[in-house]
Amino acid sequence: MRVIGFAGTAKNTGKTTTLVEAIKYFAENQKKLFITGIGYDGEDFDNLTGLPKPRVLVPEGAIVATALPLLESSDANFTNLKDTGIRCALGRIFYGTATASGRVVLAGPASTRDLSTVLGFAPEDSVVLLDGAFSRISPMVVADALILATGAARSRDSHRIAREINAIHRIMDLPVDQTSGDRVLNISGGLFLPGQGQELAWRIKSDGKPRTVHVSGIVNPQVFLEALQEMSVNGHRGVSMVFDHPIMLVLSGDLLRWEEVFSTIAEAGLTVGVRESTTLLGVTVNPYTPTESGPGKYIATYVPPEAFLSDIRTLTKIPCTDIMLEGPGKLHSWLESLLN
Amino acid sequence: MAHTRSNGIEPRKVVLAPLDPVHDVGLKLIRRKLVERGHHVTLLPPDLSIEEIVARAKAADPDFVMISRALSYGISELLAKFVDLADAAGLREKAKLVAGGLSMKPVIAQELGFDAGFGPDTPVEAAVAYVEGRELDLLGGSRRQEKPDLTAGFTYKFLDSEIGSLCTAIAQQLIDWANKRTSPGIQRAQLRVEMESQRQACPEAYSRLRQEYAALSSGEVKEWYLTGKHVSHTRPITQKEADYIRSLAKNAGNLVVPRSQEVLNDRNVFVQYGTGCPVMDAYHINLSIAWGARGVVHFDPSWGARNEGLLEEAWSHEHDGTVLTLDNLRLIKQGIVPGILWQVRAHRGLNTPETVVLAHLSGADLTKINIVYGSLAAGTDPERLTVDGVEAMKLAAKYNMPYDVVTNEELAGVPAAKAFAGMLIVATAGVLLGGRPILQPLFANSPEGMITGYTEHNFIDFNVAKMKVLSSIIDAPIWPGAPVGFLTQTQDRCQSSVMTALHAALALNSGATAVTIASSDEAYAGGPITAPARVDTLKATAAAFRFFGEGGIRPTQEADKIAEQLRQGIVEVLKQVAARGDFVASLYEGDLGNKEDGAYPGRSGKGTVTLKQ
Repeated sequence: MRVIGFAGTAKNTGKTTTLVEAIKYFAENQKKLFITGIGYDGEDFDNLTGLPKPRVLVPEGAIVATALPLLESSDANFTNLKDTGIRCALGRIFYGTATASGRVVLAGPASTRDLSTVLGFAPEDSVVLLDGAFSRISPMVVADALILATGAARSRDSHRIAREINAIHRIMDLPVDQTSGDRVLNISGGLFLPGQGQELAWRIKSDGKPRTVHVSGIVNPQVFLEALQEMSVNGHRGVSMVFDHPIMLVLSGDLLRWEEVFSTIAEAGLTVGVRESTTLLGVTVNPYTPTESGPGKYIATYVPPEAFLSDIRTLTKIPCTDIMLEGPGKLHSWLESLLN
Repeated sequence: MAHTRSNGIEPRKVVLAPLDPVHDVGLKLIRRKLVERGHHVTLLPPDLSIEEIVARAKAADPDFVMISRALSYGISELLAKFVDLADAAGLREKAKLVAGGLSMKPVIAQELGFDAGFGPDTPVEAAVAYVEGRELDLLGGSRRQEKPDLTAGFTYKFLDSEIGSLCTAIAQQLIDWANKRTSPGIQRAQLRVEMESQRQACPEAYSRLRQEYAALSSGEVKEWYLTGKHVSHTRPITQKEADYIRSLAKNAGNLVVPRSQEVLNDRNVFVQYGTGCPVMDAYHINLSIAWGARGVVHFDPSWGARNEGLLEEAWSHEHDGTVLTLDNLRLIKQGIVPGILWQVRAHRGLNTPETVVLAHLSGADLTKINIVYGSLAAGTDPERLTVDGVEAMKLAAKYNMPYDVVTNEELAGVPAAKAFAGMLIVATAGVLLGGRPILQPLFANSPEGMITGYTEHNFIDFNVAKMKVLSSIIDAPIWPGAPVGFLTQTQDRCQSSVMTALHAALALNSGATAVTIASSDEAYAGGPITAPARVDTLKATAAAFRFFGEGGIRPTQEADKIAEQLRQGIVEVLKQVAARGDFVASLYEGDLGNKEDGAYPGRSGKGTVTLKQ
């Protein structure tokens, strides 16, 4: 079983479009699919902007886990419906097999714990496609691979988008370090509140000479910087900082502060790693953004697609594509690499 | 403070977090309710960062974290980020995350990753129920399933012996008079009962009876029975339309009253329908039930009162009033869900007894019979309607079907004292015949109210006086209508809704058992009834009930004076009628309303009453 997550840096960055193309790709390649999502997706119109949304079409044979009423109202005629025992805001989540290709609305488990339970029902030989929501990424820790969607809905500034992609790429690329033993100092509770940086530095100092410091939980770059400044003063070169998962580093604070973190790490003579990781396959770029035209009213607007993509591609190393502009070819190649 | 062990509720730890300072009123309400029920509640200060909320919540080890924030596009990303942080921090290992605030709804909560989402209309009880793991339908509340008996608990004893004696003597005289007579309307009612029993069992007998029925009919109705030619402005209901009505009816069982309208659950608020089109009627009934109406009243076309005979089969009518046939009623009946009262009226025309038969055969709960109004202000000959009315009351008693007795002749200008005297006579006759009449005073700015000045300073005193005088005369249910607020409403929907709502609140605050309200666009103009107008008045009425609650409405001292004047007027009228010794003659001679009052004895059916063989 391979789990592929479709996460975004914001709402309306193109997660659904990317997911739909991935579904088509795997259907054409006769892969057994298990599809679910961590939010609500596939509806006709966006619940916040009222603008049209892409529909989620699933092929015959696909297994879908979503709120029961949505399975029952789908024209994919789901059969063999089974209860996952998990509830979401729209009711109990069931899974069933599509007896015809058809449209479905995805409303799956919201938390990592519930998601893990639901994925336990996926057949071992299936490809699991995990649809994201908003900029939510925390549950994607269960994914083996990730495709990130970003675009003008996050920022119309292509340079800022590129810097964020680079930060995320750098974070997702951190080496896996599963060192254990006496020289490992375990710190729980994360590193995301003011004061936690100084506390971490103090703990490292009072511990003597740990070779590895494992910080479990969320890490905010600003707080990490505070810790690094304290540690630099006290001289802790050679310490390896290990975090739970790259995703723990992108949940809090300004992503762009990580550029500063990485340069400070190098200067301080420290190394950084993660216990577990997820492969970032590529980034889809979407020039679309809803623009408020009046109180609570939105219209669809676009930045120039070619220039937007070109700028971002020039400034980043991770593969990027605009599916609507370039077609799904590049996405297919990323998915193919995963399967191989 | 209520406690867990006594109320059997497992105490829960709940963290409440306002994401901005102006949106914590809802959370404070929730806190009060939760604490009252023994839960442990921590209300965080406003304006904490989402990281701080997560950290503080984690430290509290809660079962639930409830976030309050008005939603916008930008704020939605902040809430999504909060959900992510809570998840990554391990808060969700135990705690359920709940979002509440303006624009929040379950699908948005789902998209954001919350376990539940409560919108601005959600009652505090819903949040409490969620914490306690109880099922509570967030889309709407429960609707009472049992049908109220509007006449339950009333003894029908006269509290005013003078008026009681007069009414009883007059009513007995009119019953004795009517018992010796018959009419084509009575004969058709008897035929209809036979026809319906033979329709399936013996088509030949049915066909023979149908010919007899046609012979007793008149005008276009007779022509339809003889030739099949459609009555003007009618056409048969198509199969597609019938199917649509059935589909609406099927949906009716799933209707839930929004919580904002639940206040209507404990009030018997009726609405009228009768668009002419059973499809539209079914839709309006659906809509009315969904917005809290406890009863619906069927209105038929005015020509139905003037023609001898009622049609068969299902018909659509181009103008106001839905054609009274058993098939139409049975179609419409399918949308009358449990707990909803259904009244089929039979109060003013040449088919009064047969309408009671159809009401019974189609399963109606209530009907409407009036001799005086139908005779003096609705065009039916007094002699004929007295004979038919007595028969209709006998049938209603036989079918155990309560009926209201209206006083809409007030709208023509008949003073309330005369109208009430007529209503009390007819109601007394109904009681003597074993029935359960309901008094229906008009709550209106009637011509009398304007001319005498009763309604010059407010609309409360005159209407309260009516309630006072009636409830001091007899222990009987009172159901103001129909609808309340006549001549106070205008073509302005807002103004009409307010007037309707205030009159409804006044009625129920004054001890009425039920009330009939108008739609905001029907009351004044009698024009088309639109769906928004239906909702207008039902929402306005619920809002008025919510506003007054048990607070009551205080009339001025004028109400007592008017009530006394009404009583004196009623006594004088009754004495006049009793002195004449002939109720029907009193109708013709104007004792219960004369030409100066705007009342004219009707002519439809004149000369059709015969002595029984």
